[in-house]
Amino acid sequence: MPVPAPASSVTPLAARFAQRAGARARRERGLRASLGIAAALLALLALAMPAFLLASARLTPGWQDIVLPLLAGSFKAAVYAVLVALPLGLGAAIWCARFAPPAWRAVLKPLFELFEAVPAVVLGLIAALLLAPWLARHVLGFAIFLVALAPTLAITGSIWQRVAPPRWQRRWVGREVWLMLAPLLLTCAFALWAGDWFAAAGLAALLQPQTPWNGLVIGLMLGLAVMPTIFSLSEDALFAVPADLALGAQALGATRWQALWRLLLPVAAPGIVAALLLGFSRALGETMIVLMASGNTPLLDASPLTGLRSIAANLALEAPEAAPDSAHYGLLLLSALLLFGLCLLLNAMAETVRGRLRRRLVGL
Amino acid sequence: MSVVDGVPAMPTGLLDGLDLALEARGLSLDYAQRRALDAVHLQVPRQRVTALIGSSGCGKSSLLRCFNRLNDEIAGCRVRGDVRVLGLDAYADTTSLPELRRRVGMVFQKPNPFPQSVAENVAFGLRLAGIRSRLELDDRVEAALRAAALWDEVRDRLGDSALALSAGQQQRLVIARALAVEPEVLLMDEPASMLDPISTLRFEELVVALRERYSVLLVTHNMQQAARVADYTAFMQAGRLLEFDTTDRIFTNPRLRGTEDYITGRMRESGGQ
Amino acid sequence: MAAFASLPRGVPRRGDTGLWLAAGAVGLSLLALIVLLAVLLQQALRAFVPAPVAELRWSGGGTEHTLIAAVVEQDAHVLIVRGSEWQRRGAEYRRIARADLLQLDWPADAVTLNLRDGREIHLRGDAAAWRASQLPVLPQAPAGFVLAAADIDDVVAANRLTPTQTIRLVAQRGWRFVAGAPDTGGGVYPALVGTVVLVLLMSVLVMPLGVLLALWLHEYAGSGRGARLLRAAMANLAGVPAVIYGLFGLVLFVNGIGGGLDVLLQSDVPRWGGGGLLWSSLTLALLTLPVVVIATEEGLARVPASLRQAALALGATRAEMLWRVVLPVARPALLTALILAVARAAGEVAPLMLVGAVKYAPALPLDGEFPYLHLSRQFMHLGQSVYDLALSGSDTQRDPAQAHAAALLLLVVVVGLNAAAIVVRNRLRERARELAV
Repeated sequence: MPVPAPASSVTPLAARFAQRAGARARRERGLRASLGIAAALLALLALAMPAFLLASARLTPGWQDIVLPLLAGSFKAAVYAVLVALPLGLGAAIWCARFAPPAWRAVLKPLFELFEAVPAVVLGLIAALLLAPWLARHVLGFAIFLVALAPTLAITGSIWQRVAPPRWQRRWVGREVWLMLAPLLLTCAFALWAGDWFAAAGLAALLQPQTPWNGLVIGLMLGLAVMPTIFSLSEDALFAVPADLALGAQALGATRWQALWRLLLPVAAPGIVAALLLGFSRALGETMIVLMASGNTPLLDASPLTGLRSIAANLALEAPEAAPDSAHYGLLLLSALLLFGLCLLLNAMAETVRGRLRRRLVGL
Repeated sequence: MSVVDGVPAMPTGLLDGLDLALEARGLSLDYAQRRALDAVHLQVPRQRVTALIGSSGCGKSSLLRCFNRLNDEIAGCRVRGDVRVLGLDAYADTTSLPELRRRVGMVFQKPNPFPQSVAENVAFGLRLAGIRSRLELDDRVEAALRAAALWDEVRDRLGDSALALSAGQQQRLVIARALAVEPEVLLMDEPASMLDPISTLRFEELVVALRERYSVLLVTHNMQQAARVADYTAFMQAGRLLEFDTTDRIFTNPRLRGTEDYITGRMRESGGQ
Repeated sequence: MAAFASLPRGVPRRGDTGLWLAAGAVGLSLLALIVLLAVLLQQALRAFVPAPVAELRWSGGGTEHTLIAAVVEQDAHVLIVRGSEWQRRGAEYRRIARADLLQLDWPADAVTLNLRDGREIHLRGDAAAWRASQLPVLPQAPAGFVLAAADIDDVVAANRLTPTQTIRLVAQRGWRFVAGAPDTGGGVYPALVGTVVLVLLMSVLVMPLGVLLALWLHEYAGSGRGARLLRAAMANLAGVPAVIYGLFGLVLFVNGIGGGLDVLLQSDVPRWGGGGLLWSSLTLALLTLPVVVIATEEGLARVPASLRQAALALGATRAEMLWRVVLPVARPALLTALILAVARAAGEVAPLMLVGAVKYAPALPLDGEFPYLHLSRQFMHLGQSVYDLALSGSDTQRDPAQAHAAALLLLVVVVGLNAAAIVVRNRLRERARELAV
């Protein structure tokens, strides 16, 4: 076997390495230094964010009258949004993680995650110009839809289970979504028709929104915007629970749903709670949808049929015009500080709860 | 016979008159949770092949990685004792890690070529030396590939991705990559365990050929392999080096009962396959 | 997955109510998605499809009116029409209750003249002759109205369009919308340029910092207290609402640094102390920093340890290992990080409202005039345009159809970028698997 020229302890290559050793060491130190600077910058930024809010926020007399309605508005928007997003997001997550065929899951998950990327201004536009006027005319129908939806789905499902031949049922396992589309659309149509009928019968006054741009519209659109957050995080939590857990229960005769409800959901619960908290935090801070479709009237009430003005929207509206160092500016920053603190708190809570989930999963 | 103060059972005067490539004295190594090496004494002579045998988890790999200080990469890993590489203290503050690692090449259990072309893989270390001339790079790449007995197989595929080579070729490519920077010692961590029998054979021939110029410390699970290629063999158990001798004597007439048990047990096991 | 695959056959599935509700949730979500998209598409198309032209007669305020106008929207109770705009674009919209309507015809020889400044004039006559550069006679025109041949952009026989003609018109107008300026009949070109320049500048700012941070966190910091704190800071920064970043940018960059610069440079008009391109891109860079760091770290984590060890064992320093082995292997992850940051930045409007995007900017931030890139200039932004076209200003300045078109454009850009990120990331994962084998 050919072997190249014998190596002495100082070959030309060793000399070359020796020559470059200094430059290489300098480069290494340079990288280390720039990394350190980057880290310090970030630390500075993380500290500067709350610091600048704290430094400029002012508690001028009468601040409650200005800030509290804004805070109430933010909460109202976020609560309604989560009321919409939680059933949709959690339901979809349960379906995706536990019942959907893998091919479906591979499509649905990125699809909803893509939906998360839709710019808020686009959703706000649709909410303000299309959804709000339409919903103002069909509040009754929408109420009927809300009430009728769950029972219709449940009844259709149980009828299917009782009546359809088992062979069909097996074929449709994992494709129940298609089955549900028909009752969904029928409920929509029925609710619209019934709503119009009631309205024509003079019952419109029962649920007459004060303004088309109200809490209901915000709840729906902001809910849709937040739904992917809740979906994505709770899907991850549910999917991470080992499948054997459910299979064991099913082997004992539990149905798929019972296995999920009694076993998987409790295990994944911290993840779902974290998803809820993060979704709420996102809804609190979301600006454009609320800015465009809420009417921006500062009110202290919880009705879905009245408008609202949130801290975030108020900041976008008033901050560009506020003169630095004025009382108005101080109050704006006070409200921003409140928002910042709330979001921070929610995030920290979510992180803690998620840590619990991780430990629990390691235990399994 | 027993091991006193970590000094292995070893015939007196065995390595007299031989230069030492590597030397460990009272070497202990602790990971965060457990002790991996316990007062190990080992001497590896120059331009010989020394095999390190022992059951899984006995600390062979940990010992190997003390000689090029790759253990430094593991968080919570503490080393005590004396490690000399080519006569220099490896753990001294003045030791330059890059230079130490250049002089002590390493081949891993799994072939780990970079996701680049065959030629670029071999040229990696040369570029670190600041060599830019195409001509010189080509010459040195060719020499390294010849030394690793790979040149004839890849001379027409130098531009292809290294990941397209077979596992055996990848392992020799990795050796060529290590040889290119002109090391003096080669550490090999079960280098043939992922290879098929024919590739293993070629690989062993290569190791024997390398012996002419390099000091080789080879960790292996395969007794026959140790018997075929190694001049000396060291036996480790539970973080301690128990016996060191010429390969012939270790396999025919070990001094310790434990060594014999391990070797014969293994022999029977692999003989039955 | 496994739960589905190995479903026991023939298990009685009574009491599965929740399952049906979950299926319903998926169905409802998908339905909502589809409806949103369809509605947006339909509304956006309305900006480009020529509206049919009607001849109307109605009574209002005790007198009878007649008008030739494009019918923009109609339902059971009301018509919204766009009359001939002799004076100003968007000034002749009118709502007419159906109850007041005396007569409604769709004359076959109705013609819409589209003027270069975006105005429309509706009349009856011979479209073909007018298209051959013969000036139409305008009997309804108010005194003093002068029409030159050069003013006329095109002549559309609005009620006699074949489908091919309609498609060609839509394409033509769509292109003009994307490539035109707002003062020539509505166009988002300046907003598009503003968005692109903003996002590019932001990428240049955020990528080096983000990658350095990810390297520090993943390669150097280990699991010490510093790293833990910084990780926590990063997670919290990711959860801070975008509008707070805007406020931060306003206070720190615009009022703080910008105002200071103005004092220092003794400029009389606020040059740096107002919202501008640089401050906006800095703000967005901060906003997207967590995105970049998290995506890059994920990529670094996927680089096999064996490659790092190989490089180190050959005598590479850490810097060399990172530069020559780790970063090249993680390149798709860096690309993913960049795309995600760009997608996030392109769709974000709220912070920009505070630090520099405006409804109308007279000049582009990038032009042929030295120094070519004008960092202190205010600029237009696609997302901001959506908001402005839809909601801000008086009724006549708004154009909901165009707002929807701009929204659709924004959506296509952002969703396209995100889809690209998903594709790149999947490829990265496959490659990591390949390397790990």
